Amino acid sequence: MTLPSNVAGVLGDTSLDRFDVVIVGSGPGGCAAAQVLTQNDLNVLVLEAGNNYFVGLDDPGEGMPVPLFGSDELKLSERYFGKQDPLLEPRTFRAAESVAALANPDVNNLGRAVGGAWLHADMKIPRFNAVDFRLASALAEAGREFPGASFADWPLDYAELEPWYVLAEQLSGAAGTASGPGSDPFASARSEPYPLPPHNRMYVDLVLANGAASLGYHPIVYPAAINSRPYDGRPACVNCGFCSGYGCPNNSKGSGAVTTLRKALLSGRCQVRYNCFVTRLIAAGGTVTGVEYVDDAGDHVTVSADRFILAASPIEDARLCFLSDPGGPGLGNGSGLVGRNLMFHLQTIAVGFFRQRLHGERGQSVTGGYSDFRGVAPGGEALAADGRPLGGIIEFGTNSEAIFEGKTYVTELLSLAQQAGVSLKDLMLESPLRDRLAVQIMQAEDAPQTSNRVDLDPAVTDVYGLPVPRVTYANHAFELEASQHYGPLMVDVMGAAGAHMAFIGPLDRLGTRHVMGTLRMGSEPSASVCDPFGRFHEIDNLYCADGAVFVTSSGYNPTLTIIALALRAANRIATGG
Amino acid sequence: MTAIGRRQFLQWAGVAAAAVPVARLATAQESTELASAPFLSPDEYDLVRAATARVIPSDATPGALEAGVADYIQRLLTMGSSADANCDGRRSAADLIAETAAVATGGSACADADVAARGVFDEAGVLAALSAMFARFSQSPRVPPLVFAGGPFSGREPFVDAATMQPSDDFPPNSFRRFVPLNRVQAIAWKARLDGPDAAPELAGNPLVSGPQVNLRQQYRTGLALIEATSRTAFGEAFVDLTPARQSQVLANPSLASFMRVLRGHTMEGMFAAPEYGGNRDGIGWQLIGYGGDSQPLGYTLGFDEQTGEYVERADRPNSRPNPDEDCVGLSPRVLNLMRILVGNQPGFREFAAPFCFGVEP
Repeated sequence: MTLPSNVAGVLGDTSLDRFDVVIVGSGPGGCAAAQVLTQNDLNVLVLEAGNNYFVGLDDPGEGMPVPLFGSDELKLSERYFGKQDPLLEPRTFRAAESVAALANPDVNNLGRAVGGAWLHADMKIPRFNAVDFRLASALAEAGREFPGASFADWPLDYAELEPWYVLAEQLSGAAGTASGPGSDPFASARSEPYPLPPHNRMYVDLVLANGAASLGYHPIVYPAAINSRPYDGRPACVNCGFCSGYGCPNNSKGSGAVTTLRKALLSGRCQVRYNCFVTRLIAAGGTVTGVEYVDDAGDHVTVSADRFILAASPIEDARLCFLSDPGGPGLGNGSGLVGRNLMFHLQTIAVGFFRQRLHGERGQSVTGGYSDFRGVAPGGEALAADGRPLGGIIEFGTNSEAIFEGKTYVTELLSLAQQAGVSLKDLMLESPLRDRLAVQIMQAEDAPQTSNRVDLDPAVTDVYGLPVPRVTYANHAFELEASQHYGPLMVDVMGAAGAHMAFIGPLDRLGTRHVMGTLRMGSEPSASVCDPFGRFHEIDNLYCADGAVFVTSSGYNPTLTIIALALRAANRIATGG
Repeated sequence: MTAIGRRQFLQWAGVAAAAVPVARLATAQESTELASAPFLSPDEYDLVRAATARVIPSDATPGALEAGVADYIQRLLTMGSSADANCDGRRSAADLIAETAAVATGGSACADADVAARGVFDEAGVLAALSAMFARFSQSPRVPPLVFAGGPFSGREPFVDAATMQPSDDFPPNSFRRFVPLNRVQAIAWKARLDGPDAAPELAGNPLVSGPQVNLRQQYRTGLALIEATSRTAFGEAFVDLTPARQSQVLANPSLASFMRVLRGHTMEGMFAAPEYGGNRDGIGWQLIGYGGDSQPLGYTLGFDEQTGEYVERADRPNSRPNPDEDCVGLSPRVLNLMRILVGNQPGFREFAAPFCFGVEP
């Protein structure tokens, strides 16, 4: 074994040439799976479409890798550093089957770099509620019907996933409050406390928490996979302020790259090939025999293995199933459900203008919120007794980005401002849309619908010459009613926190970074794509280890659940399942 | 250890600083010249200066001129403009990667000569460190185009002193100025942004490649010529010779609307992006708006004091409360009124009778 690799485009032991498992994608699910598999003496190849921006990620010497991320708005927010560039990989969108899909620069664009979408996230990791895993039954028991929605119970319950939640929190370095002030009264029972104490809270969090508490809500310390103390060889967060949308400059974020994937690489049993875009799985007779990718030289390469794991995000996983079966229904698609039940979170955003400066360029983007609008009973075991809509957790935030602020004035406000005798410079100095702006974002549950789906666009192709994903998606009354119900209450919280004025921003259906469904898991092959451990019903050596297997979307950030399910699925593979 | 350690940082990212005195690095930073002949002619450059000065004027406080916004735009438009930087006989996205190419081994003769002639990154230590660092994760040692500044730290803020939990006087070297190489497909995207769809045939299947942020060089060439022509038609004078009021009148001409959207957006980038991209000279844009810019490795939480059970914050720029000298005066009446006009018809709009500032002493 020779580490670190000195071969361009490869991390890990370059002498490995036979792989037990190939993982497509190095996001939180793929990284977690890689660690479990290598711990169990399996050789793993991880293929990542994007670049590697952790110098020395596979170096066994002392010290952590050095990130090429920085608190650099131009690079991260304007120039797609480590992200999906819409000039290279566009997606198309339509709100109904009856209309033409148009190329859209941002249909849930995620990361393109080693670490995946769990690089640029601000690493919020609440658990799902116990009732989420039996939501269809709970709704039926309450007599609540939602025609057109395809709610189902998960093929596992909270108790079965709980130990994997604990492991996911430990591997990621979760900081939070499990009990007492700041804990979430709606969270379900935990067998272990958070491995790290809560973070230093940012000013906007304290301002909005004061407002929420004064109206009788229960503000919480938002759990985050960011070190609040040195942990696992990584330093504590210094609250540099460039968090959501930014890779971490000091490795205090518990991205899978620097937690699980790094351990897999250092085991000598894992290789990562980056700048390698997977174009198809090669399948015959219910078995996948190989995977084909395009490397950074533009060459097509094929690699074989015993087993394959899709962890490239729900939209790309489904796309690969279709790309791998040209002219056919799609790989593993006897149920007709591949690509269907696509879910986002409907984000309702309350915006408030404040008198004081809130300094969003300090702190972790979000350090607090409240779960009172999730719509479950305290403890999360049942739906709320009063029958209130199922919404989601609310995040407290503001705007940290000066270039974005300036461009917003230029594109949205310039002529209005001129009429009012206000110059662009006046706006930048007074900063109504950055320094004096606070937001509450509700990450509300999306109802699953089979009509919300991913397939291949018939006309638009990407830089690799492949048909791009076409997203057909419309909101269900389930989440629209929740938005209408809770939105005005969120505005009230702004007033109670001291705002001048507040309103509900336009609903952003696509800009969320949360995406689930498309390869739903279940016990019945006719009603699901994957089995209860993420293995395709129809292909015995193909698995999924990301949010694509989710049955419902809950109203909490999805990543901890992605990691927990990936750990569980990989453990099943390693132990001969 | 509350921050990334200086020793391990030097081990990986700061090899250059270990070999080159920090003072010399600072000099090199200021002298990051353009990588090839400037795209904007002297007349065009002056026009960009004058036009961006109307977007953010200089008055009691600095504006686009002092921030060097025109230099930012010049650098954006100049990168990758060599016709055939990799000497393969054709103009392609690969030229963008090779444009400032080839230090040490691995580069073509023509690219080596280019680098020497330009005198860019002429510090031997920096070049050697770049080679060593980028060889670890890129195909060949090369100085990349100026799309993605490096990381993790700019050297504008120091490490924290772990013992006192206060800022130390130990500053990391500036790794922002070591730009990150593009991979193959990123180079294609940037070729399209700079030179349009024809320069990136790989993107022919994507309708977005004809959008507004693409083909920037042509947009500038055409847009600047149109500003000049509009000025001469309206006032019989060159744009740069007009009074500021007349310049603003010219720029408001509807025929310039789409170009002005691009120019105003780039003005914001040149005002507030990290100085390594060529604008925001000495952080002047950030100072103008009281913005912290990049704060690593110091950040805003300096440690956790086990004795008091509290986080230690910076006195001047705290994380969990307002600045000590800040008041609760709020937005001016006319900006407040503008916001009322902007959002007053949004769903759920409410105005509150008694706004207040939580945590600010009256």
